[in-house]
Amino acid sequence: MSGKWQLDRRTFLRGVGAAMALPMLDAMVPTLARAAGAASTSGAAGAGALPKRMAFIYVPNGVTMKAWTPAKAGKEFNLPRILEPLAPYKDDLSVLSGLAQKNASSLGDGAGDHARASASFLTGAHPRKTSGSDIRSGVSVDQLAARKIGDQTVLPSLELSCDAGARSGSCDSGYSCAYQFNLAWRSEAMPVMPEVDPKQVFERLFGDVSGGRDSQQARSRRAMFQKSILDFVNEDARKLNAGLGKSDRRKMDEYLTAVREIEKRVELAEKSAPRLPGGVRPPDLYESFEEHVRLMFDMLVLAFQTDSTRVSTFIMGHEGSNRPYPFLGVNDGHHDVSHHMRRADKIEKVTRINAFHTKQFAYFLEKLKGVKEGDGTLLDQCMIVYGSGISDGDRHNHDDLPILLAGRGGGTITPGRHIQAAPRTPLNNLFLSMLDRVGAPTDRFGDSTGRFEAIA
Amino acid sequence: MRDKCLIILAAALAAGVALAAAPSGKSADGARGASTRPAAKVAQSPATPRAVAAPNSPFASGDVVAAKVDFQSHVRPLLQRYCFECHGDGSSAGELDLDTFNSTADVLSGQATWQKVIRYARTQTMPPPDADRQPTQAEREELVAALQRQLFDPARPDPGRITLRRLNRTEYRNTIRDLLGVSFDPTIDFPQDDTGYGFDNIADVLTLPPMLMEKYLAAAEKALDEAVPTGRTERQERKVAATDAKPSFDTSAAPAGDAAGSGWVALSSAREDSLSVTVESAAPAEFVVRVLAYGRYRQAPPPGRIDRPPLRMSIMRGDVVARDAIVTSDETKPAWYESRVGVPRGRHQLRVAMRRERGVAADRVASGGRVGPEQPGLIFVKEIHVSGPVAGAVRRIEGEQIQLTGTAGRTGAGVALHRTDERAIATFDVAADGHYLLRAQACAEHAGDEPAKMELLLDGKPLETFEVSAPAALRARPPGSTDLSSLARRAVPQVYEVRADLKAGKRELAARFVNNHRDPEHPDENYRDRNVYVNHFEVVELSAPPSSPPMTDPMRRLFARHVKNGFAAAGAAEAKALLADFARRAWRRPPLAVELERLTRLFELARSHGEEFAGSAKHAMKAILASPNFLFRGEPGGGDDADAPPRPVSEFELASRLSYFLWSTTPDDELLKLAERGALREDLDAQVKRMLASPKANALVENFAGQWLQFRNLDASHPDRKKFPTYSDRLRDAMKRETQLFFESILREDRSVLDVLTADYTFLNERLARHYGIGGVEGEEFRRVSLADKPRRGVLTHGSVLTLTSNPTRTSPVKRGKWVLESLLGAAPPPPPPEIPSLEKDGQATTGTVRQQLEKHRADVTCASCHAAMDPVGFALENFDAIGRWRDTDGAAPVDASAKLPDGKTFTGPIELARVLAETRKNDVLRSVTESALTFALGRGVEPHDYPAVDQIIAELRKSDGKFSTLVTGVVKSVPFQMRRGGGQRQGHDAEPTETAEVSHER
Repeated sequence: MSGKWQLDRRTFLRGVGAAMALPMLDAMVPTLARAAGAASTSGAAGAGALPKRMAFIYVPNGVTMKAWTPAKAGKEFNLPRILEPLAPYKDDLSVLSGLAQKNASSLGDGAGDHARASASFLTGAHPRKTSGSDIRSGVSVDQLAARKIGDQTVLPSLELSCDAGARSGSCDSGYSCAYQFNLAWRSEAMPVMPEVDPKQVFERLFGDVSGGRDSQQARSRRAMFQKSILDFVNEDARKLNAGLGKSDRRKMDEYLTAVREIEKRVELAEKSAPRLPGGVRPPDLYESFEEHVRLMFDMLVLAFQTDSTRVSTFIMGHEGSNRPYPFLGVNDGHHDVSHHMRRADKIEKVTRINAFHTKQFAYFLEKLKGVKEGDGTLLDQCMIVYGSGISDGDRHNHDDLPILLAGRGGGTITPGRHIQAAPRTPLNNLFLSMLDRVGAPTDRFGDSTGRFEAIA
Repeated sequence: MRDKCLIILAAALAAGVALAAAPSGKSADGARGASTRPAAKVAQSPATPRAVAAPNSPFASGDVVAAKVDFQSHVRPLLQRYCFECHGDGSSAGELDLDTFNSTADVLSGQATWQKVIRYARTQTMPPPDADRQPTQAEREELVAALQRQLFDPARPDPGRITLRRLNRTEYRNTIRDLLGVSFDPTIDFPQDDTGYGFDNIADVLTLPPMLMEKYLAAAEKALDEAVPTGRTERQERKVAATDAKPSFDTSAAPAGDAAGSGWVALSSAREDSLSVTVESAAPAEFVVRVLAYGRYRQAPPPGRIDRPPLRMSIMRGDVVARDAIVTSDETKPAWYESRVGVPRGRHQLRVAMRRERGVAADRVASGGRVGPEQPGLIFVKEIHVSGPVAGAVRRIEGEQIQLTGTAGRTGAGVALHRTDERAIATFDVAADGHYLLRAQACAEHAGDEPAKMELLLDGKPLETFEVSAPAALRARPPGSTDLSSLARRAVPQVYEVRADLKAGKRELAARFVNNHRDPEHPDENYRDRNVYVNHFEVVELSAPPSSPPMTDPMRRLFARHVKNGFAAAGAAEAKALLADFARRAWRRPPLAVELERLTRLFELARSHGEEFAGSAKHAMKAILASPNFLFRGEPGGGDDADAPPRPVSEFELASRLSYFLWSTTPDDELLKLAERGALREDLDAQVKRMLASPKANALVENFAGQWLQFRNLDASHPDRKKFPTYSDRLRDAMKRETQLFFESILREDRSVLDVLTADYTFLNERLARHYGIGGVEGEEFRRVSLADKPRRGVLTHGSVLTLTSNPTRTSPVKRGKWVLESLLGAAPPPPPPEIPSLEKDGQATTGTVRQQLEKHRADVTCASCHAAMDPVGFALENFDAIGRWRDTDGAAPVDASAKLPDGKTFTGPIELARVLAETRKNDVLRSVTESALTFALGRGVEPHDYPAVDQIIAELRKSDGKFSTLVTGVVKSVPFQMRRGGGQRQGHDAEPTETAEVSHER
């Protein structure tokens, strides 16, 4: 009912992601980082080096592993049906087999594998089973990185999703919906809500640019006004905080953190010149799921390309999603068919959905590869994890997860291989290795047992 | 002052508790008779919460003041007898081992576990039906009572604690609307709120990430700019070459015959090409758009014919057609075509487009949808000139500011006129005699052979009648074509306007639907009913010079209260009074003196940077709306100490709790005034009555009922279009409307909440009635329909519930059963075990109806314990397909709607199901609705220490036969709603009002 008649908000343009035609710009190298006088990010590389980017792309309900895992390990590996769409980028990615996220398992908490799969995927933590009060997971790997390197970009991190949160009812088996609709966790009690509308993402990145750009003077004045308000509310929050109980104080901490972050952005935005590449327009409406996914990927490429952020997560479908894919001939919900009970027709349907997802991922890689940066491409500077927190949707197992790692991490990763890890190697080992590479090293993460340097 | 406050506090406390424990007539505790004595009297006594509070516990057969029940002697024997077989003596099914608990202390340390035990025992979920030993009902009650006694001390009620609550989307939207009088939705781009315990207003789950904070800041700015417009609109003259305008199409593929570089850009209607120019206006304003153009037909007219359909060029703002200009000039004589366009504040696209012909007959023939045939030629455009503002204030009347007659209904921002003579009415103040332009933006749904007609009337006198040919196109899709789908699915409203001389004073502009038409048998459902949709009205002051538009009503009153001698003369003193007034409304309590000082400094900062009075005040107002005092509600200074004596929440907090519970919005002036005088608690009954009678109480329908019964989730259901071709967005909306209207009838007529189960009436329009196979209901509007002789009862048989509990391609008795258990009986089944065993052997396909498959399922012991309770309920509803239609067969097999409950009761079909549930599970339904209402009201889950309050409300409900007002009053007067945990120091919000808080407030 809502919004159906709010017509003037809409544009009348064709809503096709591809129509937005991202220009293939030459190295939009970290203008902002330089403008802000920020130091180099990577521990490994010297000053002036290109920044490394890190993204995590999530697909729900596991995959048909038989149609995913290459037969042989090493450089000479085949691409089974689900990975076929990625053939053009075979040399830019590795298939990582045998990784596990143990904390997604029940561990005595009964059902709820979907909620746990997404809540633990990047946090490595075992989420607390609760449908309301006291949600708890852990700080996610992307947010650990953002804490360390996020101050060098306008947005510390960018959270994207194609699924808005649930509107009512509880979610998976007594778990709060927060577990299934968020991937990034800023603190163990605070998931970071993703943005679902590509247009909004665009405006977060570049502001409302429809009417041209402001002068430096106008920017300064606006920044001054904004800051006076932030100062005011900051003081309100601190005054309130003084008289609060523990859980209230947690809420006020969220508030204070948010205000601080905006303050930082106001300052950065005041200093930096407009960063939007010429010729790029805000995204239009989308008509299909595929367009939606692609527009989100477009935004992510744009964010990386303009060095507006270096850390991102993208939920292509929320864990447990029951979205039908009628355009693939799958009229049943994804979750329903993922419980295929070994029936061939259902397995076929899940596999089609899985391959559709990798096809979208291929689109993303294509775009990243199309952006030149330094002597190579943007993709070379990236570390993109693609995968699911569930292996087989029917079994709900959390070992042997379907995981891809794309990009060269600025020359620190050798892609183009099928890497077969020892069974039940913690996925968190991979995350430790990635954190090292973006300059946010940490000793342990979840159930990590060491680094996963097989990717090097 | 302080002493007085303390007395009031004590009185309020006593009153709160006494009310919470309202006498139940046959109270088990004889001493409770005293609870009706006047609050004032109680206040005199040195009553402490401990002494007063002894809620009447209907579950307890013994003396409520009795000492703690001993675990070993009262609880353990029952557990041993009925539970240990699986959950003790070495077994720990479901990872639950009850014999590790040996004392009250053990129980207290495992609250969550015992909460579940109580729930399962009470709802007969456990022991499983196939267990050898089944407790009697009396034993169940005894166990529950004894366990509850373990968990809390009835002599010391624990109101629990509510974390500081951020306003959720709905609350924020409503609050901003009430404060500022803006009608647009400022939350449109906010992220979805996470839900907990089935509701989206749960304090602990409502987080505030930086992204949302950004949106709050942006929303406050936008809303204030609209409410207090201060931007001056500079006169703009822009001349844009067509080649510089933004095209909607690929300009590189120029049509043959056009000389490149000539500056002419061709528009084709094939894909509805358009050129757009952005304008920005600091205030709603009137612009003029002029376009230099000519037309060229695709081919010469057939021999002997010289007449040709005209080429039309649309001048639009966004999706709205301001004017369809007929382009008669050819390339030898290009001509200027112009249109006036009303532009709201902000940045907007003015467009020149060549659209397809849409409307009545031609469209139907051409596309069977609403795309329309192509125009027979091209239009070439060279220049677009935009100038404005060209007139005085532009006033827009939209949303709830529009009044309706008859069965007309609201659709988002606009209204729908369904029947002949129905009107949409806008009243507005004309400041001075003069020349005005009156506009209505409208579109229509077509049926029959003539266009829909709309008459504009001024003060009841007809002005002009228009043919509304603009299609509403709610869901038309061109078959087989994807190209234009995005266009076809959007309504393209058009502006219809008249000029009139108006006298100063209150005027009434109305749009009347002239010619309703119905064609119920039309094969295309898009052509069955003619309706007119009016999106908004605009009143343009032609005779006045361009100026700032008026403030919204609440803001005009706010400024008028504090600025007596014009804005030019107003300074810090006026600003201070104004900000105190606004902060009091926004923060739901008067600001402290220091807060007001800081606000005034913000005003002065803006002033010193050249902003005028209103703009400077607005700067401080923005801070008020971004402050945690606005975004969060709850009483700061809360202790977390369960042992300290509880105390009543402040009157201001009580006003907020009431208002957000019943209205999902901020307290109105009456509530705040009562709170200021400390008189709200005394007046509670009258206030609740007043609030329930207010239209604002409809918030309960969408926000409480919508989440309790989950029908808000209907949008997330996607029945398979191939299998259910009749399912459409409009049918879905009708289903939702049915359930909303039904719950509204319970609210408005103060009916029994048990009606959700048993009601033999509902609300239908023709679309839904046909869907249900019920005759005699005609037209789009909903009306009450008796179901006395129909196989439908209560919400269980609403299309909404039946659809949202189905899979895309088939029914799911399990989901339906689960919904009944979860929503109506408050007995959500335990989650399924991990690694659910497959129903069938490898590779062997399942056969038979869903029911047959499930019967097999239940033969498995692991599944049976829960499915025995869920499935039968679903089976009884098998006569309804996955979108709620009646059916007698499922595939080839006849539907078998017989069912057997775990207790052996058998029944067949929906009517018997409703009856059996109403007879045997009445208490569970009352408990479920009570706990849901309490959860919604408190913004937290129901905890064991709330059980006495819940039991109290249920007892009251039983007496009133479930009246809705009893539920609301029960919640409002309950300990957890009225009180808070003690401990911690408090900030003196009611003890220390600022002097300026006494300024005269809104009358």
